[in-house]
Amino acid sequence: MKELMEQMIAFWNNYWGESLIAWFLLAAVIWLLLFRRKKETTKYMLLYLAVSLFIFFCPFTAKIIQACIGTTVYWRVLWLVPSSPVIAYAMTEFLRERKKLWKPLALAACAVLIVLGGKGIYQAGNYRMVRNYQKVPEEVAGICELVKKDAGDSLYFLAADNYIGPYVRVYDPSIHMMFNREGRGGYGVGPKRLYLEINAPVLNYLNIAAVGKRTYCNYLVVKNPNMDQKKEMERFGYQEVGSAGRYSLYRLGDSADAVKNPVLYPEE
Amino acid sequence: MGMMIKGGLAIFWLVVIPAFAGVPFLKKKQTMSIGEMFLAGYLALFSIMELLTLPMTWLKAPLHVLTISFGLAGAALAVWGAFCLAKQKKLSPLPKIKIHFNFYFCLAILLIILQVVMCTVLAHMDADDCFYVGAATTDVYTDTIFEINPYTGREYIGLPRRYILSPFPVFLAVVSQLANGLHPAIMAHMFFPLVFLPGAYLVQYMLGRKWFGEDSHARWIYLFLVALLAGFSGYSVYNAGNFQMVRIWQGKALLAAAMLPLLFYLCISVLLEKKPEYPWYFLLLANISCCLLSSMGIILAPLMTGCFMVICLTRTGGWKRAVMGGASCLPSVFLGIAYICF
Repeated sequence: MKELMEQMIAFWNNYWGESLIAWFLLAAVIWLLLFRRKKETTKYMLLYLAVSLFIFFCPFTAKIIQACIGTTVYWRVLWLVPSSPVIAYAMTEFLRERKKLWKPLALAACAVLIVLGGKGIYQAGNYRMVRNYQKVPEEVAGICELVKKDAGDSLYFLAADNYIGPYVRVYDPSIHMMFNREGRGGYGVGPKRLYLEINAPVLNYLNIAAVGKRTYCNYLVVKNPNMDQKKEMERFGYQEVGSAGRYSLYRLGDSADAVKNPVLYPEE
Repeated sequence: MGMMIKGGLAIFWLVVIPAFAGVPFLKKKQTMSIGEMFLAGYLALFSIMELLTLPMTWLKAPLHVLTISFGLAGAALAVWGAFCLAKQKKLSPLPKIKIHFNFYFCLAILLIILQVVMCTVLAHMDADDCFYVGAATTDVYTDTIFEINPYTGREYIGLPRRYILSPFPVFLAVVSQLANGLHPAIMAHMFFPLVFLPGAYLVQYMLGRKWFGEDSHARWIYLFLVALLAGFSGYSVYNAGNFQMVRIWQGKALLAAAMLPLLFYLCISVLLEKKPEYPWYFLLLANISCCLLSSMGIILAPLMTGCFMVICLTRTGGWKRAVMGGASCLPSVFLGIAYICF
């Protein structure tokens, strides 16, 4: 029980981060209870807020919900709590009473509170400019175009790290991946080993090329190697096709289907 | 030029068709706004999508069959809506738009436009896209529904039971195909934010209208504050505002940003008001739509409806309405059992 409560409090704290929004919610509730408690809207809004918070924090309901959706995503139950509508509603009720000239000034004060209490989406580093319409990292678009040009209609496998991998099939679904984000979809020992090698904190190009060749991986996307590392890749038959930004594309053999992966060519 | 046509078709299927498709469900209302038409249309289209996709996934039908079926159903509903509108308004144009221009209106609209431009023009990298958008690109490329693993491009070894009950990526694939084969990643990253972000604020506007009535200053102040709270929700990656602002093209984000607030609005309108503003089956459609968007919707939608049923019983004692609310959760309960058991 104690563990469950601690977990829920951790979820609650993570949900609000270091913002003041949870305190704004509390302040909004108190203000509504003090000054708008007789209003029908306030009554059902606060009642719903109480019921939804009860569902989230009650160990009994939490146990049932977690049994259905899993423990790791239990924080999503907090989406039921209408925090923004309650805060905005209370602030608007407060602003409604202000006289003509004071209203925009009070609104500006509320806006400043929100700006200081939260954190800007852009400021949090969520957005950047890219040139492709698919909105994937430029390096992914560059690598995909290189592969498409080099491989033509051949069937092949490609492996890339956790930065490039997740967006390759978003950009071009004709590319077969050995594994994807966090190794997902990679079955067997070989692909798992290749995933670990290609995402290692310090890359060992000899190991990457060796495992890549052993698993019949036709293309490898690796961080730009130096001269020695290039030779290590070439020792196992990987040839550089080109590069995009910080990444280089390597092909096993002279063409995309020089080495035929038994998964893609089962009859051979 | 090709891109322009595809973009025009995307807007046609994401804005025009839903707006007209919503009319038949509102024809008994004395007045209806374009916003209501649009939201009711989405409830209907999402429900149709869920009801069509589940059996077709089971039957391993190709994607183009689903695309044609959904396209025909959506178009038929929209034509029926246009017919209802013409008949009801005696061939007058769309319902009148009453907008009270004032300082607060300009402030709210400017902030929302800024946010829409940011979400549409700039790019947010989200690794979850490798499944949610990847599933759509894969389905389009292979003309299948959930048969090929989007992570690798190989056939699934076991069906992804968590996702097949909430096939929002298939909706993305279908709409992309209806937009003359627009790349699903472009549809998701450019057109979905362009339509769904204002859609999320439309729901908030409706809430503001419910709470502040004819006080247009208060309505727009409310909308401005809600938009500001969403715009400054970068404090954690878990809150609904953050999901709304950075990845509204994913089903779970659309659930958190628009569908749960819409269900909130409908629960108030149907279960708590003296005279229900909408018929009870709007709750049913909203619950099915939540199921389409995310597996979380399968449990969160009945939870929210359940909360309001409790409030309805304690405050109004309206047993009949509570039973209707319970009935609207049946599809979610059915899918929830399927999710847990199979």
